[in-house]
Amino acid sequence: MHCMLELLVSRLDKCPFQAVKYQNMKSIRVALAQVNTTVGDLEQNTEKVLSFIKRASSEGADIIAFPELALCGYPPEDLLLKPYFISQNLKFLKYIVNNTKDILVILGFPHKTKDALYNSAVIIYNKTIRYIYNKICLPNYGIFDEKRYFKPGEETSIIQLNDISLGVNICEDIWVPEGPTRFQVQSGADLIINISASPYHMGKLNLREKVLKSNAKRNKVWVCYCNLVGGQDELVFDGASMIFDPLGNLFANARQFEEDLLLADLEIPFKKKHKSLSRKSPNFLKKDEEVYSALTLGLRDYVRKNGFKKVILGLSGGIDSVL
Amino acid sequence: MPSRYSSEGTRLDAQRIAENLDIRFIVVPIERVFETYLDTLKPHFEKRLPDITEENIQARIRGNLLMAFSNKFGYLVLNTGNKSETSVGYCTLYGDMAGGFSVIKDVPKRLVYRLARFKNKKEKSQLIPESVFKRPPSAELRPNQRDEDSLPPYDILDKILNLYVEKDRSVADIINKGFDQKIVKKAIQMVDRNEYKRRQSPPGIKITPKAFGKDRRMPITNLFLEA
Repeated sequence: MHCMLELLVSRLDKCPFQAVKYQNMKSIRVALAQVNTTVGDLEQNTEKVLSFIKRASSEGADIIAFPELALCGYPPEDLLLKPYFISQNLKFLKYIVNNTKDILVILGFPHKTKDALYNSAVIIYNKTIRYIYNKICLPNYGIFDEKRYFKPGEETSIIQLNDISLGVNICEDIWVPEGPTRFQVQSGADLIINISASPYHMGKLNLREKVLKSNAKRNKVWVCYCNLVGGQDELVFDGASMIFDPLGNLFANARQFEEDLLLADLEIPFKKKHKSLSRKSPNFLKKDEEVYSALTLGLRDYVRKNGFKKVILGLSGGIDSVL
Repeated sequence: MPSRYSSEGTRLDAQRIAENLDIRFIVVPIERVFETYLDTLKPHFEKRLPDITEENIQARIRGNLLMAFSNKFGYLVLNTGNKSETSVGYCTLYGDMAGGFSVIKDVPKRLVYRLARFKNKKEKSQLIPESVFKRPPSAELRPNQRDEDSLPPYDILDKILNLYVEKDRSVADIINKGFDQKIVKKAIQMVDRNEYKRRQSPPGIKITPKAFGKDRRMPITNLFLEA
């Protein structure tokens, strides 16, 4: 299986997506699948991925992107050290590949090659793996430990779909100013799709907006940011996937703290009066409601994903237990 | 789980909030167990006066009872400690620190109040009775106890903790910002000395840029003491 993947990568330049620079305006319908996957539940995650692909297909989407490591859940931590975990991932990936056609799927998964493990995005089209992008910038601060598991990727390619050039990168890659996004744009990308698993903390959404805005504006490129949603132990992923237009304006956004499928028609080249297909509601939650929602989702997912039916607590009548 | 030190006010509020939320509410008094503990330990305590030992026993009885319900019925025990008390170790190991998941572990005390206010406002009702907001925080483990007997007022403490825990500012830095030197040193000593407790606490939801756990990995055996 590993050999097959590598073979396909090396065949990229011979695949049907040959670079033909567009002459006229093109439109592409992008779907960002903001899913709540569960770490280690490969079967349910696979089902979820397939059901979102089906939904996006029926909505006429050309591309669907899933969050970082969506197949295995994030963060998988030391599960990544188990060879059996990696091989099971590959098994379920193969199943997804075999059930995908007429839509380009971008899916995060742990990618093992002969000598290294990568945090990767697989690009699937018509039952075939077209390309595997390996995350280049690995975060290793705060809650992140990615260098413990992954080797940084060393190259990136542009993917051609219906005359539109697409650059795919992963989470931290877009936080680095002269990182992969810049390189992909310089190589001709009209559209950047970043798949993320960016955990919540107070003020984080604002940071993300700034980073995405400046990436879009500086590079004059569409930026589609697909974030994970859901609770995983101490982390809460808040979703709020976003699309920024090449002027750096928020074009569309997904819900916070809920699963969502964000659909948008992106026109290339970009015209100012361009309207979004999806709702555009940048009225994100205010601070207190945002924290409250994070705590609710974190607790609900911890209880649900670990199979508890009921909880108990000591209710003293003080403010802490009351809350 | 009332004891001899539980006030009428908190008992009533606990019951009221349970009714408002429509959750199952059971009262398991700890008085008899507490007395048995005291009797059992009395011959070994050599006439020492009651101190924090007896306070912690109450908290541990409660932790124990909750774990019994967990075992018997498969309930997940929720820990309700906040970030302020987790920071300074104002909590009892194997007592109120027991539990499987610590929901507001990363929420400083002042934010706890704000979120409770938010909830009332959102529900457009006094879901949480006003008396809960008005009553000075107390562990109710001895007569007339107040958190502020052992801790600086929370509006000062939370600011100091934010600077020391989340921003890694030095003690001198924090004092320079105009905080009382004695209060700062005391708070920081408490933070530094209680890493052993935090390391044994249940996981909880990260909501600040720096939560205890993966975000802040401090050695327990640590003689780099700033205060």
